[in-house]
Order: sequence, then structure tokens, then C-alpha cells
Amino acid sequence: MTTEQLLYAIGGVGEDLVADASVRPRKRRAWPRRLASAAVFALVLTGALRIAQRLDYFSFGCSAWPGTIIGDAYYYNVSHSGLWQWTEKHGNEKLFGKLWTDGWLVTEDAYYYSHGLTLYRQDRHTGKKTKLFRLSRADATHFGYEIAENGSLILTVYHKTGEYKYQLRVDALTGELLETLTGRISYADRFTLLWTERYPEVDTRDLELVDIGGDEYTHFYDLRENGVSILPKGTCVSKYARSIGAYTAYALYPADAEERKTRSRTDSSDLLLLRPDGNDAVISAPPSGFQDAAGDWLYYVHQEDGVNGVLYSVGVYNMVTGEARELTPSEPWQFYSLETDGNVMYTCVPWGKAHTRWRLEYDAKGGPVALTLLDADICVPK
Amino acid sequence: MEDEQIIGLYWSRNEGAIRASEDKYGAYCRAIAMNILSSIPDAEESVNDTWLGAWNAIPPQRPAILSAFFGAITRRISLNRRRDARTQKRGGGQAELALDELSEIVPASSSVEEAIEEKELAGAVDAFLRTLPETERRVFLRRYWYLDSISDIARRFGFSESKTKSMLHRCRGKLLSHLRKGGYISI
Repeated sequence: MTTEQLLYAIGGVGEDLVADASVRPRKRRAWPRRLASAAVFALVLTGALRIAQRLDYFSFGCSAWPGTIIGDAYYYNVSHSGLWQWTEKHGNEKLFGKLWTDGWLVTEDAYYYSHGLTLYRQDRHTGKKTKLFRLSRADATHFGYEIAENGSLILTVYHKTGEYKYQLRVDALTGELLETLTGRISYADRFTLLWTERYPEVDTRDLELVDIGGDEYTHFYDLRENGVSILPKGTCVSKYARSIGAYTAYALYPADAEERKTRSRTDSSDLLLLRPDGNDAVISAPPSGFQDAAGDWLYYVHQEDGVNGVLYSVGVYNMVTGEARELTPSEPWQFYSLETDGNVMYTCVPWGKAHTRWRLEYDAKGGPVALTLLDADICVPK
Repeated sequence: MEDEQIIGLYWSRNEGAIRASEDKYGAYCRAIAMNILSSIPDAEESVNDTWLGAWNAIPPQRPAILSAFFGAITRRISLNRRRDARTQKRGGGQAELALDELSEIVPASSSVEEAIEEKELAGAVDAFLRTLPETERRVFLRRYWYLDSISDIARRFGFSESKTKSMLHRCRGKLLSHLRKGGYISI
């Protein structure tokens, strides 16, 4: 047999087969294929966008933001990456990826981190991870959390479509619901305080804000301890407390509504500084505000217009003596945000990604006088 | 005109049968001839010879499927014409390529009797084709019966050329195996 014979022989197959092969096949519709391709593309795109969103590529969180000092470790956020820890011994270590965590809270005992509406706890000593609780989608769209003085967790739960918020207290070890601190507070309700606003926590002190009225936008409050006002005579505060290290501060406003009208709502330079031991002080705040405290010293960033642009420096204020001074850095530097424990200071600027480490230098009287640069950017592995 | 009527004209020896055949199946047969001969004048002659062949065959034959009947005549005439042209160093086209491809199945060293009856071999191929899935069978016939080019087949079925080639490759492999089992080829 030859190929030619085979070719001729193929010509002899049944006429029905030949006729069947001459029928033009029904054109395969292009749209199901295109639809499938479009669906896959949309799926991939959605996934990519979701990942990009989770990694902060669509937010303004790409700059450095002050971290937290606990013991000899510094915990800080790295944009598009997650929570990192820096220690002198181990350098940089990544603790949690941004992809799987939405927020963190670091305490001496544990890391608390959330993903969606679920909060987890990881013991810092044993490494054991515990799922504390999961909020229902019917009741929450997002939430925040803070650790209370008694060690419990206070959750501020938000529902952005229902437009309300409320607070819960849960056990920080088991996630058990201990107390419903507030009912649902409408976003439109300007005057009902959250529990943490109404009862500011300063150690175990029994403090409460009492509404003394205001205008249609803002109410002002008397701050009472054990039912007795602790504000300087003729003053009141807004509901916004500031944390300065371990201290809590309130800006002081005139109690008299008419007198208050003559001033801008945000124009207050006097601060009431609440200390755990009750030795409260009224101090004058610098325009940029105090950022941290260690011992009797409050730390702030001083900005001044210079010939070549804005000059930045770190200033300190002694809350007991009222003494103020600027610290001399070992190298010219730009300062904006700082975090200190009194021994080292970490600084960063929102227009950069570096976290800079400094050592605080003291004079013979124990007052901070200078900053020595230790590491220009701890984020860069050495 | 219905096929039955055309066949009726052939049976009644009415020359209108040829015009009717040309009107209805001229393009179809011309396409087959062109695939094999790649020459318009040669294809035209093949088609004309087809009507003559049909005139001689009907009666006594009464084709069940007239298109396939005419196509088979055109195919054979065109292959013959191609063979003659090749001996005169002319020709080319899809038939050469198809032969190349089929040489995978029929090795030069085939030891089986050369003179296998063409009809017997056609029967074996027919039986084989009936075992194939519909699309594969149609693609195979488009390539080796109609001698369509790969690109035409790919376009016709909405496949890529590589998919078409690979489908034909698989079919040839299966045909080889089928012919071996039937004792038509043994190596």
C-alpha cells in the first residue's frame, strides 16, 4: 500500500460521511468565550485591587507614623507591609502582614490585631494565638479597640450604613462580653458621649465629664473627680482629651459662653494635665502640641520659618518647674513626630518613610539637653 | 432543483441534468478540484469531467447523496490529473501536503501486500471514521477527503491552526493503529 493508494481509498468512504463533513459547522458563539474571559479578567482585577487596597496602596498611609515603645522594643507600621518590631539585639522583625491584619495594639503582654470584624490576641510570651470574638455584620461595619486601665478591652463599634456607634467592654484574655457601655449613638448625635469620652481613664481615678451646654455644634463640659469639679475656676473643657505619654490632657476654655464666643473654638493654649498621682498641672502648650512625656518632661516639636525653609527642632518642657528648652541634635535633622521613653527617641516625618533612632543626653541635673543620632533609619536592615 | 429531480434527468438521459448539476454543485466540486490542483483551468476541466463521469455512471447508479457522489468523482478525477501533472513536473497544492502527512501512516517499508483492493481499504477507513467523534471525523475528512488547507479547516471550525494540526495528528495515529489491527499495515 502506498500513501497515494490510501488517499484514493479515503475517497471511497461512505457518502453519508462525506456529506456530513460538508455541513458547515455551527459557528461557535464568541460571546460565551468573551464573557468567560471578561469574568476571569474582572475576577483577577478585583483580587488585585483588593490586595492593593489591603496593602494601603489607595490610602494616604504610605508615610511613616510614630510607633510604640515597649521595653527595649519599638513597634512600628511599615507601609504596604505590616507591623514590625525593632530591637537592638535582633534588628527588624516583621510581626504581622498588612494583608491579613487591619490594625494592631501592642501591650506588654500581648499583641491584639484585627481582621475584618474579628479580633485576635497573641500572647507575647508563649506566642499562643486566640480568636477573641467576631462582631456580627448586622451590628458592625468596622471597629476600634483600646486597652483599659483594668486590663479589659474597650471596643468602639461603628456601623457606617446604619450610621451609629457604640462601645462594649470585653475580657482581654477570653473575649467574653463583660459590659455594654453605651447604646447605639447616632452619627448625627453630636452631644451624647461615648463611654470613654464621658469617663476618661487616668489610672484608677474616678473622673467624669458633665455637660454644661454649648451651641448647636459643640458642647462643653465640667470635669469632675468623685463628683467634684477639678477644673480651674471659670474654665471648662471639650470632650476631646489628648494623650501625652502616660498623661491625659484637656484644653481649657472659658466656662462663660459669651466669653467663649470671642475665641476660636480651637484657640486654647492652656492645658490641664491629669497625672495618675493626682498632681495635675495647668501648663501652656506649644502651638504644635506636646507629643510625648517621660518623667516630668514633656516633648514637642518646634517649627520655625528659617531662611532656607522651615526649621524643625525638638523642645522639652518641665511640667513642674515650667522650664523649657530645645534639644541639640548631633546632626541637623527634620522632626515632625516623636516617641520616647526618656532614654531613646524615635522620630519620623510624614513626607518620608524612615524611623530614626536617637539617644537622649542629659545634663548633670537630669534634664534632657541633646539628641545623639543612633540610626538614621531603623527600617533599613544593617 | 431537488436531487431526485436531477437524478431523474440523468436517468432519462436529459442533457439538462448536466446544467442542473453545474448550477447546484458546480461551486462545490470546483472547490474540491482547486484544493487538489491549485489551478483554475485544471479545476474547471475536472468539474466538466465530473458531469461526464456522472452521465456515464447514472444509470445504472442512483446515488443516495448526490453531492458526495459528485464530490467523489471530482476528487478522483482531480487526483488523477494531479498525478499526471506531477509526472510532468507540474502541480502542487494540498494533495502533496496531505500525502506527506499520510506517509506517517504508510511507511515505505510496509511489508503487506501492496495490491490491497482500494475498495477494501476504503471500507477499513470508513469503519475507522465511524469510530471517531463527530468533530474529529469531520476535520479528518475536510483534510483528507476534501483536501482543505489547515488554515481553511481551522477557520471553518473556529479552531487555532495548531489545534487543528494536533487533532489531525491524533487522528492519523488512530488510523495507523486501526490499519495495523486490520492487518493492512505491519511493521
